[in-house]
Amino acid sequence: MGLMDGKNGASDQAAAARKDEMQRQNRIRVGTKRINNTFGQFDDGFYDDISSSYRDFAQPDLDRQFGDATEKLTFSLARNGMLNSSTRAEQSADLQGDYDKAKVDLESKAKEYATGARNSVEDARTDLISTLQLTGDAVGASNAAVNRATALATPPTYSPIAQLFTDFTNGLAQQAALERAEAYSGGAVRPRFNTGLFGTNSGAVKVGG
Amino acid sequence: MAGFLLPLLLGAGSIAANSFGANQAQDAMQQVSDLYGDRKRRNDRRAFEINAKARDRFDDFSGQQDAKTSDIAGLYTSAVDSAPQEPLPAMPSSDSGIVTSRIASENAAAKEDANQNAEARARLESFGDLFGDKSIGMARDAGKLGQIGSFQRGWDSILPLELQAASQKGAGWMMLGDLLNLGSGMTLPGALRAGAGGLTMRGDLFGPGGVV
Repeated sequence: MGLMDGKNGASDQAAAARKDEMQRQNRIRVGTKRINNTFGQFDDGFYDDISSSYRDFAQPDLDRQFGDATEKLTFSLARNGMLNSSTRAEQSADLQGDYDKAKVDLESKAKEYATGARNSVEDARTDLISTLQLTGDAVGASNAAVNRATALATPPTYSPIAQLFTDFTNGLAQQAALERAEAYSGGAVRPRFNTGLFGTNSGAVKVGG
Repeated sequence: MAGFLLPLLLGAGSIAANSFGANQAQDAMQQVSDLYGDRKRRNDRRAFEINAKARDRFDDFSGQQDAKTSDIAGLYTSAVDSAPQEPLPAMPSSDSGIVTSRIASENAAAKEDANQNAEARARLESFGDLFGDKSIGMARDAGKLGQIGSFQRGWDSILPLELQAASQKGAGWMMLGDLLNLGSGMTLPGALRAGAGGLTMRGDLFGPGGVV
Protein backbone atom coordinates (compact mmCIF):
# COMPACT_ATOMS: atom_id res chain seq x y z
CA MET A 1 0.00 0.00 0.00
CA GLY A 2 3.04 2.24 0.18
CA LEU A 3 2.77 3.41 -3.39
CA MET A 4 -0.97 3.94 -3.08
CA ASP A 5 -0.53 5.90 0.18
CA GLY A 6 1.74 8.35 -1.57
CA LYS A 7 5.00 7.31 0.07
CA ASN A 8 7.41 9.46 -1.86
CA GLY A 9 10.25 11.93 -1.62
CA ALA A 10 8.25 14.47 0.37
CA SER A 11 7.24 12.00 3.02
CA ASP A 12 10.79 10.69 3.26
CA GLN A 13 12.05 14.25 3.65
CA ALA A 14 9.44 15.02 6.29
CA ALA A 15 10.20 11.78 8.14
CA ALA A 16 13.93 12.55 8.08
CA ALA A 17 13.32 16.12 9.34
CA ARG A 18 11.00 14.81 12.08
CA LYS A 19 13.56 12.21 13.12
CA ASP A 20 16.33 14.83 13.19
CA GLU A 21 14.21 17.17 15.29
CA MET A 22 13.24 14.42 17.73
CA GLN A 23 16.89 13.43 18.05
CA ARG A 24 17.90 17.07 18.58
CA GLN A 25 15.27 17.51 21.28
CA ASN A 26 16.31 14.28 22.91
CA ARG A 27 19.96 15.35 22.89
CA ILE A 28 18.98 18.65 24.53
CA ARG A 29 16.95 16.81 27.18
CA VAL A 30 19.77 14.38 27.89
CA GLY A 31 22.37 17.16 27.89
CA THR A 32 20.30 19.32 30.25
CA LYS A 33 19.88 16.36 32.59
CA ARG A 34 23.61 15.70 32.55
CA ILE A 35 24.40 19.35 33.24
CA ASN A 36 21.94 19.39 36.14
CA ASN A 37 23.34 16.12 37.50
CA THR A 38 26.90 17.46 37.29
CA PHE A 39 25.84 20.66 39.03
CA GLY A 40 23.89 18.69 41.63
CA GLN A 41 27.00 18.72 43.82
CA PHE A 42 26.43 22.45 44.37
CA ASP A 43 23.73 22.06 46.99
CA ASP A 44 23.05 24.10 50.14
CA GLY A 45 25.73 22.09 51.96
CA PHE A 46 28.34 23.23 49.43
CA TYR A 47 27.50 26.89 50.00
CA ASP A 48 27.33 26.40 53.78
CA ASP A 49 30.84 24.94 53.60
CA ILE A 50 32.09 28.04 51.79
CA SER A 51 30.66 30.27 54.53
CA SER A 52 32.00 27.98 57.19
CA SER A 53 35.49 27.82 55.71
CA TYR A 54 35.59 31.62 55.50
CA ARG A 55 34.63 31.77 59.19
CA ASP A 56 37.40 29.30 59.99
CA PHE A 57 39.80 31.45 57.99
CA ALA A 58 38.86 34.85 59.37
CA GLN A 59 37.67 34.27 62.94
CA PRO A 60 41.12 33.37 64.42
CA ASP A 61 42.58 36.51 62.81
CA LEU A 62 39.76 38.62 64.22
CA ASP A 63 40.22 37.09 67.67
CA ARG A 64 43.98 37.66 67.53
CA GLN A 65 43.46 41.31 66.59
CA PHE A 66 40.89 41.72 69.34
CA GLY A 67 43.28 40.08 71.82
CA ASP A 68 46.07 42.48 70.83
CA ALA A 69 43.77 45.48 71.16
CA THR A 70 42.56 44.24 74.57
CA GLU A 71 46.15 43.91 75.71
CA LYS A 72 47.01 47.41 74.55
CA LEU A 73 43.97 48.79 76.34
CA THR A 74 44.79 46.85 79.50
CA PHE A 75 48.35 48.16 79.48
CA SER A 76 47.16 51.71 78.92
CA LEU A 77 44.72 51.43 81.77
CA ALA A 78 47.28 49.77 84.04
CA ARG A 79 49.94 52.42 83.30
CA ASN A 80 47.57 55.06 84.57
CA GLY A 81 46.10 53.02 87.37
CA MET A 82 42.70 53.12 85.70
CA LEU A 83 41.90 49.43 85.71
CA ASN A 84 39.40 50.05 88.45
CA SER A 85 37.64 52.97 86.85
CA SER A 86 34.54 53.88 84.88
CA THR A 87 36.89 54.82 82.05
CA ARG A 88 37.91 51.17 81.86
CA ALA A 89 34.24 50.23 81.62
CA GLU A 90 33.66 52.68 78.76
CA GLN A 91 36.81 51.82 76.85
CA SER A 92 36.44 48.06 77.15
CA ALA A 93 32.78 48.33 76.13
CA ASP A 94 33.79 50.38 73.08
CA LEU A 95 36.32 47.74 72.15
CA GLN A 96 33.79 44.96 72.73
CA GLY A 97 31.31 46.84 70.54
CA ASP A 98 33.88 47.09 67.74
CA TYR A 99 34.59 43.38 68.08
CA ASP A 100 30.90 42.48 67.94
CA LYS A 101 30.38 44.62 64.83
CA ALA A 102 33.44 43.02 63.26
CA LYS A 103 31.87 39.61 63.90
CA VAL A 104 28.73 40.75 62.08
CA ASP A 105 30.95 41.99 59.22
CA LEU A 106 32.67 38.63 59.16
CA GLU A 107 29.35 36.78 59.03
CA SER A 108 28.14 39.08 56.28
CA LYS A 109 31.33 38.46 54.31
CA ALA A 110 30.91 34.70 54.77
CA LYS A 111 27.38 35.00 53.38
CA GLU A 112 28.70 37.15 50.53
CA TYR A 113 31.25 34.48 49.54
CA ALA A 114 28.52 31.84 49.50
CA THR A 115 26.22 34.10 47.46
CA GLY A 116 29.04 34.87 45.01
CA ALA A 117 29.73 31.16 44.58
CA ARG A 118 26.02 30.45 44.08
CA ASN A 119 25.78 33.15 41.41
CA SER A 120 28.88 31.84 39.62
CA VAL A 121 27.47 28.31 39.62
CA GLU A 122 24.09 29.47 38.30
CA ASP A 123 25.73 31.62 35.61
CA ALA A 124 27.80 28.65 34.47
CA ARG A 125 24.76 26.35 34.42
CA THR A 126 22.72 28.91 32.48
CA ASP A 127 25.54 29.41 29.94
CA LEU A 128 25.93 25.69 29.40
CA ILE A 129 22.20 25.12 28.92
CA SER A 130 21.95 28.08 26.51
CA THR A 131 24.86 26.71 24.49
CA LEU A 132 23.34 23.25 24.50
CA GLN A 133 20.04 24.61 23.19
CA LEU A 134 21.88 26.27 20.32
CA THR A 135 24.19 23.41 19.42
CA GLY A 136 22.22 20.35 20.53
CA ASP A 137 25.58 18.81 21.44
CA ALA A 138 24.87 16.76 24.58
CA VAL A 139 28.36 15.25 24.77
CA GLY A 140 30.07 18.63 24.42
CA ALA A 141 27.74 20.14 27.02
CA SER A 142 28.37 17.26 29.39
CA ASN A 143 32.17 17.60 29.09
CA ALA A 144 31.98 21.37 29.48
CA ALA A 145 29.77 20.92 32.56
CA VAL A 146 32.33 18.63 34.19
CA ASN A 147 35.15 21.11 33.46
CA ARG A 148 33.20 24.10 34.73
CA ALA A 149 32.01 22.21 37.82
CA THR A 150 35.59 21.18 38.64
CA ALA A 151 36.72 24.80 38.40
CA LEU A 152 33.78 26.02 40.46
CA ALA A 153 34.30 23.39 43.18
CA THR A 154 37.79 24.77 43.87
CA PRO A 155 37.66 26.67 47.17
CA PRO A 156 37.73 30.44 46.64
CA THR A 157 40.71 32.52 47.69
CA TYR A 158 39.74 34.56 50.70
CA SER A 159 41.10 38.05 51.27
CA PRO A 160 42.62 38.49 54.71
CA ILE A 161 40.57 40.68 57.02
CA ALA A 162 41.70 44.26 57.46
CA GLN A 163 43.30 45.65 60.61
CA LEU A 164 40.02 46.09 62.42
CA PHE A 165 41.09 47.70 65.67
CA THR A 166 43.74 50.01 64.29
CA ASP A 167 41.47 52.99 64.72
CA PHE A 168 40.88 52.03 68.33
CA THR A 169 44.58 51.43 69.22
CA ASN A 170 45.81 54.40 67.17
CA GLY A 171 43.18 56.44 68.90
CA LEU A 172 44.58 55.28 72.23
CA ALA A 173 48.09 56.49 71.29
CA GLN A 174 46.84 59.79 69.91
CA GLN A 175 44.59 60.40 72.86
CA ALA A 176 47.50 59.54 75.18
CA ALA A 177 49.64 62.19 73.54
CA LEU A 178 46.88 64.79 73.78
CA GLU A 179 46.03 64.04 77.39
CA ARG A 180 49.70 64.03 78.40
CA ALA A 181 50.11 67.36 76.66
CA GLU A 182 47.16 68.65 78.68
CA ALA A 183 48.73 67.40 81.89
CA TYR A 184 52.19 68.78 81.10
CA SER A 185 50.87 72.13 79.91
CA GLY A 186 48.71 72.54 82.98
CA GLY A 187 45.57 72.63 80.87
CA ALA A 188 46.86 75.00 78.19
CA VAL A 189 46.45 72.25 75.59
CA ARG A 190 43.00 70.76 75.72
CA PRO A 191 41.93 67.66 73.83
CA ARG A 192 38.35 67.67 72.56
CA PHE A 193 37.53 65.09 75.17
CA ASN A 194 39.32 63.42 78.03
CA THR A 195 39.12 59.68 78.59
CA GLY A 196 41.08 59.91 81.80
CA LEU A 197 43.37 57.17 80.60
CA PHE A 198 46.45 59.30 80.29
CA GLY A 199 45.96 62.19 82.60
CA THR A 200 43.25 63.46 84.84
CA ASN A 201 39.59 63.24 84.03
CA SER A 202 37.44 64.92 86.58
CA GLY A 203 34.36 63.04 85.38
CA ALA A 204 35.85 59.57 85.82
CA VAL A 205 34.86 57.44 88.79
CA LYS A 206 38.07 55.98 90.14
CA VAL A 207 38.40 53.60 93.03
CA GLY A 208 41.23 54.68 95.21
CA GLY A 209 43.67 52.66 97.27
CA MET B 1 -24.70 -2.46 -24.06
CA ALA B 2 -21.98 -4.68 -22.68
CA GLY B 3 -19.42 -2.60 -24.56
CA PHE B 4 -20.31 0.47 -22.44
CA LEU B 5 -19.74 -1.38 -19.22
CA LEU B 6 -15.96 -1.10 -19.30
CA PRO B 7 -15.71 2.66 -19.82
CA LEU B 8 -18.43 3.19 -17.22
CA LEU B 9 -16.63 1.00 -14.73
CA LEU B 10 -13.34 2.70 -15.49
CA GLY B 11 -14.98 6.12 -15.07
CA ALA B 12 -16.60 5.12 -11.81
CA GLY B 13 -13.31 3.59 -10.63
CA SER B 14 -11.55 6.83 -11.53
CA ILE B 15 -13.96 8.90 -9.48
CA ALA B 16 -13.71 6.50 -6.55
CA ALA B 17 -9.89 6.36 -6.64
CA ASN B 18 -9.57 10.15 -6.91
CA SER B 19 -12.00 10.66 -4.11
CA PHE B 20 -10.26 8.08 -1.93
CA GLY B 21 -6.88 9.65 -2.64
CA ALA B 22 -8.15 13.14 -1.88
CA ASN B 23 -9.70 11.93 1.37
CA GLN B 24 -6.45 10.28 2.34
CA ALA B 25 -4.55 13.54 1.72
CA GLN B 26 -7.12 15.53 3.68
CA ASP B 27 -7.04 13.05 6.56
CA ALA B 28 -3.24 13.09 6.60
CA MET B 29 -3.15 16.90 6.61
CA GLN B 30 -5.71 16.96 9.39
CA GLN B 31 -3.59 14.48 11.33
CA VAL B 32 -0.48 16.65 10.88
CA SER B 33 -2.44 19.70 11.92
CA ASP B 34 -3.88 17.94 14.99
CA LEU B 35 -0.47 16.64 16.02
CA TYR B 36 1.07 20.09 15.61
CA GLY B 37 -1.78 21.63 17.60
CA ASP B 38 -1.34 19.06 20.38
CA ARG B 39 2.38 19.75 20.61
CA LYS B 40 1.84 23.49 20.58
CA ARG B 41 -0.87 23.30 23.24
CA ARG B 42 1.34 21.05 25.38
CA ASN B 43 4.26 23.45 25.06
CA ASP B 44 2.04 26.46 25.72
CA ARG B 45 0.63 24.76 28.81
CA ARG B 46 4.11 23.97 30.15
CA ALA B 47 5.24 27.55 29.44
CA PHE B 48 2.14 28.87 31.19
CA GLU B 49 2.80 26.68 34.24
CA ILE B 50 6.39 27.91 34.44
CA ASN B 51 5.25 31.50 34.07
CA ALA B 52 2.63 31.05 36.76
CA LYS B 53 5.24 29.53 39.07
CA ALA B 54 7.58 32.45 38.31
CA ARG B 55 4.82 34.91 39.20
CA ASP B 56 4.04 33.02 42.40
CA ARG B 57 7.61 33.51 43.54
CA PHE B 58 6.80 37.17 44.12
CA ASP B 59 3.57 36.61 46.04
CA ASP B 60 3.72 38.26 49.45
CA PHE B 61 7.17 39.63 48.74
CA SER B 62 7.16 41.80 51.84
CA GLY B 63 6.26 38.79 53.99
CA GLN B 64 9.08 36.82 52.42
CA GLN B 65 11.43 39.76 52.98
CA ASP B 66 10.45 39.87 56.64
CA ALA B 67 11.24 36.17 56.94
CA LYS B 68 14.58 36.72 55.19
CA THR B 69 15.34 39.63 57.51
CA SER B 70 14.59 37.41 60.46
CA ASP B 71 16.89 34.65 59.12
CA ILE B 72 19.79 37.02 58.51
CA ALA B 73 19.26 38.82 61.81
CA GLY B 74 19.34 35.45 63.58
CA LEU B 75 22.62 34.65 61.83
CA TYR B 76 24.17 37.97 62.82
CA THR B 77 22.93 38.14 66.39
CA SER B 78 24.10 34.59 67.03
CA ALA B 79 27.51 35.68 65.68
CA VAL B 80 27.47 38.58 68.16
CA ASP B 81 26.60 36.21 70.98
CA SER B 82 29.04 33.48 69.96
CA ALA B 83 32.19 32.85 71.95
CA PRO B 84 35.54 33.65 70.32
CA GLN B 85 37.36 30.72 68.77
CA GLU B 86 40.71 31.74 70.25
CA PRO B 87 41.37 32.19 73.99
CA LEU B 88 41.38 35.93 74.57
CA PRO B 89 43.41 37.85 77.14
CA ALA B 90 40.95 39.15 79.72
CA MET B 91 41.35 42.31 81.72
CA PRO B 92 41.86 41.83 85.42
CA SER B 93 38.52 41.84 87.16
CA SER B 94 37.62 44.84 89.24
CA ASP B 95 37.06 44.50 92.98
CA SER B 96 34.81 47.53 93.05
CA GLY B 97 31.09 46.96 92.97
CA ILE B 98 30.53 50.32 91.30
CA VAL B 99 33.07 49.66 88.56
CA THR B 100 31.86 46.10 88.07
CA SER B 101 28.31 47.34 87.75
CA ARG B 102 29.42 50.06 85.31
CA ILE B 103 31.35 47.50 83.25
CA ALA B 104 28.26 45.30 83.13
CA SER B 105 25.99 48.17 82.07
CA GLU B 106 28.46 49.48 79.45
CA ASN B 107 28.96 46.00 78.04
CA ALA B 108 25.22 45.43 77.92
CA ALA B 109 24.78 48.74 76.06
CA ALA B 110 27.55 47.78 73.62
CA LYS B 111 25.93 44.38 73.07
CA GLU B 112 22.53 45.97 72.51
CA ASP B 113 24.07 48.42 70.07
CA ALA B 114 25.75 45.54 68.19
CA ASN B 115 22.47 43.62 68.05
CA GLN B 116 20.61 46.68 66.75
CA ASN B 117 23.32 47.12 64.15
CA ALA B 118 22.97 43.43 63.22
CA GLU B 119 19.20 43.75 62.78
CA ALA B 120 19.54 46.95 60.75
CA ARG B 121 22.07 45.27 58.46
CA ALA B 122 19.80 42.26 58.14
CA ARG B 123 16.94 44.54 57.02
CA LEU B 124 19.26 46.28 54.58
CA GLU B 125 20.60 43.07 53.07
CA SER B 126 17.36 41.09 53.06
CA PHE B 127 16.00 42.69 49.87
CA GLY B 128 19.15 42.00 47.87
CA ASP B 129 19.47 38.46 49.20
CA LEU B 130 15.83 37.62 48.59
CA PHE B 131 15.87 39.15 45.12
CA GLY B 132 19.07 37.25 44.39
CA ASP B 133 17.34 33.99 45.32
CA LYS B 134 14.40 34.93 43.10
CA SER B 135 16.73 35.81 40.24
CA ILE B 136 18.28 32.36 40.37
CA GLY B 137 14.83 30.80 40.16
CA MET B 138 13.86 33.17 37.36
CA ALA B 139 17.02 32.33 35.40
CA ARG B 140 16.17 28.63 35.70
CA ASP B 141 12.62 29.34 34.55
CA ALA B 142 13.98 31.34 31.61
CA GLY B 143 16.18 28.37 30.69
CA LYS B 144 13.17 26.04 30.72
CA LEU B 145 11.10 28.50 28.67
CA GLY B 146 14.01 28.81 26.23
CA GLN B 147 14.04 25.05 25.83
CA ILE B 148 10.30 24.92 25.23
CA GLY B 149 10.66 27.74 22.68
CA SER B 150 13.52 25.94 20.98
CA PHE B 151 11.48 22.73 20.72
CA GLN B 152 8.47 24.62 19.38
CA ARG B 153 10.62 26.37 16.76
CA GLY B 154 11.92 22.94 15.75
CA TRP B 155 8.38 21.65 15.23
CA ASP B 156 7.47 24.85 13.40
CA SER B 157 10.37 24.37 11.01
CA ILE B 158 9.29 20.88 9.96
CA LEU B 159 5.56 21.68 9.72
CA PRO B 160 5.74 22.76 6.03
CA LEU B 161 7.53 19.52 5.15
CA GLU B 162 4.97 17.44 7.04
CA LEU B 163 2.07 19.28 5.37
CA GLN B 164 3.73 18.83 1.99
CA ALA B 165 4.13 15.11 2.63
CA ALA B 166 0.54 14.85 3.91
CA SER B 167 -0.82 16.64 0.86
CA GLN B 168 0.74 13.92 -1.24
CA LYS B 169 -0.86 11.10 0.75
CA GLY B 170 -3.19 9.14 -1.53
CA ALA B 171 -1.26 10.33 -4.57
CA GLY B 172 -1.10 6.71 -5.73
CA TRP B 173 -4.90 6.47 -5.60
CA MET B 174 -5.20 9.72 -7.48
CA MET B 175 -2.78 8.49 -10.11
CA LEU B 176 -4.82 5.31 -10.39
CA GLY B 177 -7.90 7.47 -10.76
CA ASP B 178 -6.21 9.42 -13.55
CA LEU B 179 -5.22 6.19 -15.28
CA LEU B 180 -8.74 4.82 -14.97
CA ASN B 181 -10.09 8.08 -16.34
CA LEU B 182 -7.67 7.85 -19.22
CA GLY B 183 -8.74 4.24 -19.79
CA SER B 184 -12.35 5.26 -19.69
CA GLY B 185 -11.71 8.03 -22.18
CA MET B 186 -9.85 5.67 -24.47
CA THR B 187 -12.40 2.84 -24.35
CA LEU B 188 -15.50 4.94 -24.65
CA PRO B 189 -15.22 5.82 -28.39
CA GLY B 190 -14.55 2.17 -29.28
CA ALA B 191 -17.51 1.09 -27.23
CA LEU B 192 -19.62 3.65 -28.94
CA ARG B 193 -18.53 2.45 -32.35
CA ALA B 194 -18.58 -1.29 -31.83
CA GLY B 195 -20.89 -1.94 -28.95
CA ALA B 196 -23.68 0.30 -30.11
CA GLY B 197 -24.12 -1.59 -33.48
CA GLY B 198 -26.22 0.47 -35.92
CA LEU B 199 -26.58 3.36 -33.54
CA THR B 200 -25.06 6.64 -34.54
CA MET B 201 -22.79 8.15 -31.99
CA ARG B 202 -24.89 11.05 -30.87
CA GLY B 203 -28.43 10.70 -32.05
CA ASP B 204 -28.95 7.06 -31.12
CA LEU B 205 -27.12 7.32 -27.88
CA PHE B 206 -28.59 10.53 -26.50
CA GLY B 207 -31.60 11.21 -28.70
CA PRO B 208 -35.21 10.14 -28.23
CA GLY B 209 -35.25 6.37 -27.72
CA GLY B 210 -31.53 6.39 -27.30
CA VAL B 211 -29.53 4.32 -24.92
CA VAL B 212 -28.88 7.08 -22.40
